[in-house]
Amino acid sequence: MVKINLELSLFKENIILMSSRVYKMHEDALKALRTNDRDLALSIIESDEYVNNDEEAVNRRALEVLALLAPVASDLRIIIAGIKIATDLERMGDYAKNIARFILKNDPVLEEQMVLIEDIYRVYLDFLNKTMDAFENADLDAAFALPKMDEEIDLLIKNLFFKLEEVELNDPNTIRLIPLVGMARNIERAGDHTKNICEQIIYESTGQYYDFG
Amino acid sequence: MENSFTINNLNLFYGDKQALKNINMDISRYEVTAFIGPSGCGKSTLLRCLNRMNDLIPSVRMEGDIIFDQENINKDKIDVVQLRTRVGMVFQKPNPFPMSIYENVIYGLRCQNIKDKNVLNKVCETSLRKAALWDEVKDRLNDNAYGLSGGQQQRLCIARAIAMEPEVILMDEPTSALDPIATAKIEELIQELKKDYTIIIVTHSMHQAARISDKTAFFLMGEVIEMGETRNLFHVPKDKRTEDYITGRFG
Repeated sequence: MVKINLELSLFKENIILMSSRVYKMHEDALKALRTNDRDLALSIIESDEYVNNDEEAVNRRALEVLALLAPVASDLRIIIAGIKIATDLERMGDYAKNIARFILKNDPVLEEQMVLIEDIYRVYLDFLNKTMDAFENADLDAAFALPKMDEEIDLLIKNLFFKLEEVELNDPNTIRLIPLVGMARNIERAGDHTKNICEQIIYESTGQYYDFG
Repeated sequence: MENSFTINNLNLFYGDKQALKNINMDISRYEVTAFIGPSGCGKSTLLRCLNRMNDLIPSVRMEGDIIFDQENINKDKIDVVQLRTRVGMVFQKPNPFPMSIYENVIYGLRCQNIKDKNVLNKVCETSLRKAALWDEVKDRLNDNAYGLSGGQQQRLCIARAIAMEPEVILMDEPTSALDPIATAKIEELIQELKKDYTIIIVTHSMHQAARISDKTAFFLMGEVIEMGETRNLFHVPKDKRTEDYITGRFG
């Protein structure tokens, strides 16, 4: 096997491993939110450190490939895209950590309020999962199609805000909606970073920068 | 941008074997064009067509046009000696003549029977300066050129080519026999020289082509597979064969 093939497949594996960790953090965050599992929330915060280390590992391998193997063409594009994807994944880890902190700091989410955030979170998890599949398979068509899911997330969040306008201010449960707003914002940003990954998959395949806005 | 050469439907045969197949190419003036490709792909053969060096090989037969300054240099009638003063060449191995540094540089002028000492001195200094060698040899111009290092000898050969005031300098793997420092000096020199000359370089180092050339042509089995801006060819090559070659997955 050509040495660069081996190095690049290890590089991609590093990124996929990192993305599975980030996915699990968000999946656990939704679980912890639903069950008010504080131990699970704590473990999410701990996982963030691993994600940070993953990013370092990706960058270190990228530097080694650049310094020792001087990649060009598609080899170079994988490295450039990979470094950027690792940065996006690291930020997504931070958002999972933020959501875990909301869980630890606040009262459990009420059942009737849970539905407001759960739908958004499910779309996001699906978006991230499909995006990382697209990365693994260098699936250009998927990379172009998937950012539509981010629009879906934005729409669901907009609906959440509309619903907030309708609540009774003197209802004692209203105050418990505030952390939900914070969590929704974190999911929204994580969605934006997932969209960035789709742009990088397109760059990796075509060498063209594509901006989904 | 104006072209130095326009090559149309060029075919070249060594006896029965076709070494260049239907080459069509424009080479821009005051740019560095690199020819890359595996051994035996025809890149040096094409380079040698540009100053009719292949004439020296008896079995060579050529078809097609090579237009240089509105003239088809592939026709019999042209003055080959004059063509070679306008299209100079530097080879893989430095080949100074067994004479002094000074005599090496002005060798071409001596052949043209120029005897004016002032002219010769001036051309010698200007050429050595342009070849970034003057400061290293100005105090020993009468020393034998064989005493210079490999890198200096190669720059001397470039100075000797420049002394004839060519329009084009052809370079056939000019740094393959040099160490990295001497290579870096030649590469830096090429960047300077392209302000005044069109440079066409054959190189086995893809990274050298990427570093120094404006355009790159990738050859394979006598054909030009892809030619374009170097920055594009090494970033997003269009042809799978180019991609495989430059990423080292060929064969």
